[in-house]
Amino acid sequence: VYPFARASDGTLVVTLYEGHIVLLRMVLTEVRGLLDSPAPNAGVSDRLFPRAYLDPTEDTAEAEFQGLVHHDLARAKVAAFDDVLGLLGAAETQADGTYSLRLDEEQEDHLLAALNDLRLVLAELLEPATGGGDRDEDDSEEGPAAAELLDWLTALESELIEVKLGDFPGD
Amino acid sequence: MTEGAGAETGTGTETIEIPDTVEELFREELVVGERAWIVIVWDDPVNLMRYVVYVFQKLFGYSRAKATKLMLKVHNEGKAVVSSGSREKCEGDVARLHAHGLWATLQREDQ
Repeated sequence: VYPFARASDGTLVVTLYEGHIVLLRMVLTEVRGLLDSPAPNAGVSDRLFPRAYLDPTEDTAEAEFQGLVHHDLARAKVAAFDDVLGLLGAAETQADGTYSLRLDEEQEDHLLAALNDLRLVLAELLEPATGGGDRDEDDSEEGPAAAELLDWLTALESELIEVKLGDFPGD
Repeated sequence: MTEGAGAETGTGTETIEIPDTVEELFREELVVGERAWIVIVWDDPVNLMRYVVYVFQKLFGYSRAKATKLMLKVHNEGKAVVSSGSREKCEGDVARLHAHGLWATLQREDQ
């Protein structure tokens, strides 16, 4: 199954197996909980909401920036997750047993944003502070499964990016 | 700049050229001297190279070639300056880059 195709009306047709939809919904729900948590994981928070100013003499500007931006950014991320969760829940079964969705431009952007944030969060949880690196050294029980999930999300996001890159004029 | 739309100022002695593209707007901003601040995108091991190209094209209107060149600079040198201008403009650019999951910061150009 090729997961993403541009329809003649401009919408994006997403085709997934049922197991993939279940997996995506599960991980989206779990990570959404992290985004919404009153006590978020510090590494995840730093990765999704990084500093704008590295210069310590700009701490006042940094505080003002975060005061202006952080809440809206967090809300936008949760809204994207909620949108994608709703879309996945409404996917229609096809004759071949796959599930299909049609996304408008905003929904596409939400899907891409959610996939990218999922990968950022999973990578951070697998390898705190580096967000990646040599995952073979991870000997925790959930490590290999999480690494496989990250690889699958990477492949899925890559497919979507290629479709989106193809939309730019002249490309 | 060619074929840009023009507008007369109140004095009637100066013409303001309105750029046709974001890239021209960016270039114009450099000409008028607002170079005090720059936006830097830093390399990270998770964001995909093609995703970074996509974000640069989407947010800044860069061509595929320019976006790819900047992405490779980030990848190979650890960072790249992707935009510049006033502090307010750069804060806006950083916020949009953060919204797309990129690690971006701003600083004074001469820092």
